[in-house]
Amino acid sequence: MAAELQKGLHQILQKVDGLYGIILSDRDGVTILKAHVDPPPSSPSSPGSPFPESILRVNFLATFSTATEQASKLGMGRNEKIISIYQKFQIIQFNKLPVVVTLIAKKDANTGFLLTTIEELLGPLVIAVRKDVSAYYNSHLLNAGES
Amino acid sequence: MKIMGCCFSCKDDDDAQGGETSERQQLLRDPVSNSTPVVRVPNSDSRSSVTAGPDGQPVRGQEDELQRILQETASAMIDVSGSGSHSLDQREFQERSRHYLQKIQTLSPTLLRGHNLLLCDVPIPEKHLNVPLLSEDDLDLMAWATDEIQEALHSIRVEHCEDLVVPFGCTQTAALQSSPSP
Repeated sequence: MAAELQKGLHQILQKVDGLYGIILSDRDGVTILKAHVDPPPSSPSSPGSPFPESILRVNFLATFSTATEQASKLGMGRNEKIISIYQKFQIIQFNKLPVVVTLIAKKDANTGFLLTTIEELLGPLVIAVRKDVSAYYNSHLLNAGES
Repeated sequence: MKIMGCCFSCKDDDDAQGGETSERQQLLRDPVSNSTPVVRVPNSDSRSSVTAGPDGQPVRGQEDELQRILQETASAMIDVSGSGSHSLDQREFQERSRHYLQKIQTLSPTLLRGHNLLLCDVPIPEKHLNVPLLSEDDLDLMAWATDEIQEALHSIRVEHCEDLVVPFGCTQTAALQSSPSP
């Protein structure tokens, strides 16, 4: 029921003021499930686009897993979330490895609300997806070891 | 006054810190004070001598211990130089996407239905919360009406004109006859 889940994500986007996109991806940046408002044009500099399309790509999404792993070595425990605020928008990423949750919102959106309520809303979905992704990684490593 | 010398001993830090690692913890066991018997394994490398533990099982040698320390140090090092080198090839990317799509199809759509804690008896609370606010005139009317009601409640007085105890529809004689004798 991928369409139903995507519809549910779109409903969350409509309810939360300033939230542009929700992306669930794995540690290498491969998108598992995503929903965003008004597909952004390919050019990042086009007027009126809420956020650059490059945020949805594998290259950007894959950087978080490295960043959070390195940040966890700073002696303050495991890194859970990273907030990146830019000129016109902000990105909040949750460490639910092997799943990464990325929220894209406008700069003056309610960051606290996104950090708490949205994380709670997506909790059951993330738990269910994590099981599948972990199983995939385990079987993938097993096959790689055998080969 | 001459000081001959002083000596002191430190209590084992493991008890105080609950077994957590610290900068004062010894990485290698002291070979001099090692009281466990040494068992020579035939045809083994002299650098990695195997010692027997209290239960007779072989313990990792010094070489393995150093290797473990090296691995732990390497994993704890912060290194961002190789962050951009990992990239998936197109075939693997498509295979993973297809796999995830198949898995997503099996998930229930109820996973995203949040629990309504506030206004749970109202089906669409946003609809009611989005209606236009009351006008100033209505608010003034409500305030005036409540003030009038409060004033009226405070001005209620009870004036008793008759006796407080009143027999119900019978004479005093009939009431005495009907009452049981003591």
